[in-house]
Amino acid sequence: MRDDVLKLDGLSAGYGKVLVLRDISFRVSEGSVVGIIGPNGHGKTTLLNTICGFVSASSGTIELDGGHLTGLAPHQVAARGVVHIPQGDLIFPDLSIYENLLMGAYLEPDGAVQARRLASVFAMFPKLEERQAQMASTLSGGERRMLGIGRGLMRESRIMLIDEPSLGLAPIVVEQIYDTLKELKSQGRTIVLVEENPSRVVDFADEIFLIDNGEIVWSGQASEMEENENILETYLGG
Amino acid sequence: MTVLDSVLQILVSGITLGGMYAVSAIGLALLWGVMGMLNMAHGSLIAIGAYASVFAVGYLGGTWYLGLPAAMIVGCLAGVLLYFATARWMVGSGQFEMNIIIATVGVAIVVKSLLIIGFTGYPQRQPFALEGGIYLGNVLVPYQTMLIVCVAIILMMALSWLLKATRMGRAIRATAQSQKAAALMGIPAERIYLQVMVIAGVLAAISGVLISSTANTSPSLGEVTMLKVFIICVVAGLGNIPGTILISFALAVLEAAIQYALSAKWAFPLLLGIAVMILIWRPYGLFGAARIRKV
Repeated sequence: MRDDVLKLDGLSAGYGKVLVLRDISFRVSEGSVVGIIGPNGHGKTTLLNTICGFVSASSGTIELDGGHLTGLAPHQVAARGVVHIPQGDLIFPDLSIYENLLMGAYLEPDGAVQARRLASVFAMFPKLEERQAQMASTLSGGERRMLGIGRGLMRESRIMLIDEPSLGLAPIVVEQIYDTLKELKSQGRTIVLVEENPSRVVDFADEIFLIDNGEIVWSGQASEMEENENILETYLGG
Repeated sequence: MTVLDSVLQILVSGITLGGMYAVSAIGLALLWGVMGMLNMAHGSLIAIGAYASVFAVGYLGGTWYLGLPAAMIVGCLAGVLLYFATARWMVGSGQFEMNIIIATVGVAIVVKSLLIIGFTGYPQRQPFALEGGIYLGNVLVPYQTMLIVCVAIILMMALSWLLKATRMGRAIRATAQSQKAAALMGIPAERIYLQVMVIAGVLAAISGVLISSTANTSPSLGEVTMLKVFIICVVAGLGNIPGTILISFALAVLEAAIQYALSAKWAFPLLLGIAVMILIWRPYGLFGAARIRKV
């Protein structure tokens, strides 16, 4: 059996007195892809933000490779090897594409390692190399998403948390982004993917968790989900 | 004097003033741009710098030019102290922008009192100064003016290099643009804030030395300067550094022109009037993007 990279145990969290997540428990094993799906506004993004330390847990624990993440500040969580590619990309608009990528390697000051990573990101996204001197604010939605992913690949990670990579993109661009994600999966990376659109996740994830109203209401293999049409209808409107 | 001489005279004094304002204004702009901190103790940092030079040279007997490194060291320490006395405990709280204004007003009062206790309220001569000058036509360009402009240019180039070409500088710019994204990259905001306070402290202290070298050193030195520098930052658009530098020189040349054409007493009211008109036209400053902050 493969080792657990991420382990959530009885995690509850929210904003002020409002609990958004209730008693969330799951494990992500090394090299696997976990999909988190569910309707909009039911806690998927809050879950990732809690793992990253932006939202503090009111109870329960988060462990990465057996060490506690609970209570750590976001930059400390990042330093433990959690790469979060957030919704809306959160790129630095007034830094160049090259500088954005360098910021991704902030925790990796070794110039030779940085250059190697940069080369592999450019190999994956040739457009970013062509435009590396441009300000990131000049990029299109799809290119911003590529920059967000590329920036996340600029440092060593134990786990990548990717939030709605298809959000707001044209179908052809979504296709490209998912090709990239499949490549990352084939490299053996451990990934937690949040998506509203279940059809994307079914093709991609090894295991799926359905979150509704801040609770995990169903979990299983991707194939089981396709067989169980009730789930899709009940929670995601078919 | 010919018209050309008059223009030259205005430009020489305008560029000197502009250099001094720019060095001081950058620190204020940087703090706002990165932390959303309006530092009301910026004038204190300016005065502390001027007195550090007076103390190192006048009291301890150093050579005149040692005043500048002395001011830089004291400015750096003052930045660290100011951070740990105020911002360190307030950053991240919902009311940061208001609280930090109140806290730094308090710091300014304390610093002024300490300077009066330590150095008396009487104006003192700034030793970081050169005598003499050269004539360009009929216009005397003092060596001190050249020194001020050189120091200002070197500082602006150094800061530009720091922000553009170093890991620390990129992290500062990244944090200014998105603190959340910067945290995701593993950048600790507290460390960036401390670095920015130190940079602002050093720049303000140096500007204190420069400004007092054209007048004299008194405990209220920073207050008048800070008011002008604040106007510059607001007209430029708070937090915009290239805009701040440009406006520093533009308003300083304007100030010099008003002083030359009318008299020194008209400079400040007219400057204020122009600033108000610009802000009515563009409330977020000439180079600022519209953004609303609750304070």
